[in-house]
Amino acid sequence: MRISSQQAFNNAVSGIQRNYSNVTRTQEQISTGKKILTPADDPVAAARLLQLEQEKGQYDQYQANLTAAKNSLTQEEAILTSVGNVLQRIREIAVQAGNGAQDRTDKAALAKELTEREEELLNLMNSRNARGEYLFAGNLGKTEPFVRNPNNTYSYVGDEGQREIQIASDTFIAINDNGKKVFEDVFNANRVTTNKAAAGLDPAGNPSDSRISLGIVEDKLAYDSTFPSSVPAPLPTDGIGIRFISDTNYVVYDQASPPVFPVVLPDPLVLATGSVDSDPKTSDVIRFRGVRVQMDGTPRTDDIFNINRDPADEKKGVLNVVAELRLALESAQDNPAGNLVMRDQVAVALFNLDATYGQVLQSQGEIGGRLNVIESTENFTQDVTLINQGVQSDLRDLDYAEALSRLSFQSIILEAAQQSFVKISSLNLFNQLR
Amino acid sequence: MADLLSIGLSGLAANKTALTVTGHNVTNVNTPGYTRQESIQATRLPQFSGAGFIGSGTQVTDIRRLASEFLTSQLRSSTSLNGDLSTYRAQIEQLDSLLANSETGVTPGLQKFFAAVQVAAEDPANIPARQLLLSEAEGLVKRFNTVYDQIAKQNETLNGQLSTQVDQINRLASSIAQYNDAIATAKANGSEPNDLLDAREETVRQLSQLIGVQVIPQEDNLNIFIGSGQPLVVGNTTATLSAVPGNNDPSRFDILFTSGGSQQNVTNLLTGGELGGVLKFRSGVLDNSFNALGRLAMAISDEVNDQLGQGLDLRGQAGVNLFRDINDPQSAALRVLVPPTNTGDIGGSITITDTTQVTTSDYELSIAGGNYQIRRFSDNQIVAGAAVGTLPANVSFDGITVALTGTTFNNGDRLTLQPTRRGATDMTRVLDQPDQLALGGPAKAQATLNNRGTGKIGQPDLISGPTPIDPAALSAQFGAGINLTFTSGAPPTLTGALPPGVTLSYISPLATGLQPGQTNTLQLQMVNASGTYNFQFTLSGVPQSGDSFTLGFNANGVSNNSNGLKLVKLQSQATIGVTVPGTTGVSFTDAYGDLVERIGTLTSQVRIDNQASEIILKQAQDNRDSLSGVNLDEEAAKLIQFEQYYQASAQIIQVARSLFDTLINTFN
Repeated sequence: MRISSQQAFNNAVSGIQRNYSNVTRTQEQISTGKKILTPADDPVAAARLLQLEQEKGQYDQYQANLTAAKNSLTQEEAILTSVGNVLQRIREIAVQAGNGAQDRTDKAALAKELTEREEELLNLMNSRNARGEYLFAGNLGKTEPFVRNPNNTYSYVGDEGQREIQIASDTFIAINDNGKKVFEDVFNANRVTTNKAAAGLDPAGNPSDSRISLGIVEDKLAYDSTFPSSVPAPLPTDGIGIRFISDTNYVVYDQASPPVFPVVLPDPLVLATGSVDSDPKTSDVIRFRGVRVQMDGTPRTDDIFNINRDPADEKKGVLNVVAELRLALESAQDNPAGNLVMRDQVAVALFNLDATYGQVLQSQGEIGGRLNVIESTENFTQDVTLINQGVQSDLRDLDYAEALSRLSFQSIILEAAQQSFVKISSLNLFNQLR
Repeated sequence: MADLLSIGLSGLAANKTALTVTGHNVTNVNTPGYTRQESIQATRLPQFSGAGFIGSGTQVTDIRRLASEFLTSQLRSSTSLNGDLSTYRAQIEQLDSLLANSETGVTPGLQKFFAAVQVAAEDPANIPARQLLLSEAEGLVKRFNTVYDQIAKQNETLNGQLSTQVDQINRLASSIAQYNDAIATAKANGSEPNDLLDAREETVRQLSQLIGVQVIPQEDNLNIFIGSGQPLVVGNTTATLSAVPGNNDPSRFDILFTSGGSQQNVTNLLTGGELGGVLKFRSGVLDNSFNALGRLAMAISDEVNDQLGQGLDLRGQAGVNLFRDINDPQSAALRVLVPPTNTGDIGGSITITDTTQVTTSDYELSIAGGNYQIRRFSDNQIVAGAAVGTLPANVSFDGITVALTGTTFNNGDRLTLQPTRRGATDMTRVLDQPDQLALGGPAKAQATLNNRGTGKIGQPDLISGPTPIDPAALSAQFGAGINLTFTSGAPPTLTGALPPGVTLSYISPLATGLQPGQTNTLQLQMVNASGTYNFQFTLSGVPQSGDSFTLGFNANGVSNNSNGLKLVKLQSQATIGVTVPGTTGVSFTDAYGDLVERIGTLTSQVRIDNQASEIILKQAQDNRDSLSGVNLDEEAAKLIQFEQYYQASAQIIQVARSLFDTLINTFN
């Protein structure tokens, strides 16, 4: 084939240029460490890289959320641990208060400590996070959740909101608990009212000195399902009557349908019968349909005691339990009647304190469970992030060994092209014309 | 002797010419478009004598150009192809790296925005986190604006390029016409004006670098046609091209072809060459990128605004827009372009009714034969149309509504509809008060403390409602709270005094009541003057008869993040190009990924095509050079050759002289 001089030059130069551009490209890959310099180098991989990049961003965010959740839950757990400690101490005080050997001064001292503990509890339950938001107020972060009313009771004014954050693509985790759930939603042991409705006469013709204690609901299932109740909702008028038909024997009946007295047993309207001993020094326990009461003193024929539902008092928050115990201690009387009042109050308080403590422990358990989820999600997130990085690296990163050997090979070709061009271009007939 | 002398002289003259031609070749080795020449010799007419015909020497009959029409036209077409592809490639590579660059691309902005939403949702009462969300929203907006500006700048550059290219084309066309004229005059002498022909070929080659041409030789002229047969050069007359702001869209230059008194818009007809590459890039890539980007920006603005409108801010007000309303009247009006050539007064504006349905295509409304019709550019489908008599009207299709205005509608009038073109530049952050970000849900639920059962009520979720919601109306309707009491029955139900306009229904697992022990989903519908609200909530556990639950307005719920979590979900939700809800559609990031992948694929394709066209061009150039190019070695050999012939011819004269001398000397 005939080659023109121009063509020879052009071919040589374009060859050198091509080789030079290859070398430059390889060099650029080496200096950036990437094999894809623009999406056009590998459009599919580039789109995949964008997705992976977004996924990586999301997992970074999940990681940040996990840390935030862990912080929030750890703080809550620490506060609940403190609450638990305070409750333990209050329980000790309650046990001491129940000791009949203590006189008014001792009880006043106990009441004093209880006042401090009550204040401590209130502060713990109104804890705020670093940004000044109340931890146990549900979604009302700027509202103090537990407030003291003028009548020595406490109210929860937060809501039931629970904040969740995203920790994985379809996993949300709660990062707080509202105060109602943790501290208020506890069944009150003393959710019945008791009273002596009528007194029989003792042989001397005086009203009997019998006394009914505060009622304690021992068996929730039996109480809820069998204790007299209106439909649909229980009312304070629902209850039973206990009437002594002799000085030791009594019958139990539904207040809504009392039998005609004097009763002739068996009577379908008599729900139960029982007897107490005649020793006024010992307490007699009456248990009926989940409710437990104690009878003190000497009952007489025609003593009537009522036990009624108290649907407005089904639950009692921890602060109210403590406040009631404190009030009882403050107003304690140094006489047998006062001792009985104290005994009843302490019994109720112990039941309620145990229930509250159980509730706090349960919340701690839930937090522990969530922290476990967080930990395993964290591991998962880290694993996925690693895999993600691996894939990203496969798609994007340069194989240096391959690139460097390619570079040296391309350099050799370039040099060869340059040298051969110099050699060939000097071959010219005009050079031989002398 | 006289004839021998004359034979010698003829040899001298012929070889001197041959040497001149060789010299001409040597000196023009580097002249673009030069075709090597050679002199053609023939014997002179012999003289008849008694002994027969006696040769009378040599003569140069022709100076021949070693050219092939076929190779030249091959070179021309491959030059045109390569010009087209390399221009296209240069343009698309710019866009390719712009879109994927982590500094300029949209993906990192999207990522940061949603990360900020997550941070704000984690602690909705935290003002700094909300402030961060606002800043990242601004960052996202800036990304869109910047990418739009870059593409718009590229569009402007293309307009400039078109003007320059058109000027060059006009200049080359008039040169060709002049060459045609000069060659016709020169040819009148009967011989080929070789160098003029070379110059004309080279000019045509330069022209084909700029634009695809068809070359039709006619007698001594080369006639040049472009596009679909528009005569650019015929003989010594030329037509002119001009680049002017487009009739349909002034930001895109049109190419007009002016011949004699008539003018024609040839923008869509021109192919090949650098000009064709620019036009192809603009219509095939740039327009679509503008629109894809605009659609994404509008979808983000709209979805985020809508979601914010379903929530409550820190002040207890309905959420306000974070981004400017995509149907802001000013933006809506700019989406319809009215060509200045219209004779009637048709106009209009476009409102986006559903961003999930919007396409990336532009549309054209045209009036013909008393009917108007709207054509989608992407697939040339007619999407709407009716008799002109029904105008003005609101026409809805593909998630947009075109409000057409005017009183006079004439045949031939047109409108260009660009629903998404300006989306990325119209995007603006309008909210600057962090406490006005609506991250909270509008309602809350509570269980009554003294409930005896284990029934647990979930927080109500607003699944549909007007945007923005009306907190005052909702709050008034909720009143102190809607109290629902668990009532035994088969199945058990929730009963209570529902305020007017409120209905409660059971969604699952039963449609008639509750299934205690399972998670029941219930729906509370509230109809009031501001619209219809549907709340869903769950009830789980086993409530006891008489247990009650309260649904109420979420007053002061500053730490409520339920609307924030819904914003977070937008990141991975299918929000764009949803033709069949639930199955088709892509998320924000994937929509952008699609664009990047599309441009990337086109770029890698054109790279391959361009490499091929370079090889084709090189081969065509090689083939032409192989025949027509000058080889210096060859010319050097010829120089030696002709010099020797010249010397030999001189020797003939020497012999003739000595013969004459011999004769003269015999008389001495």
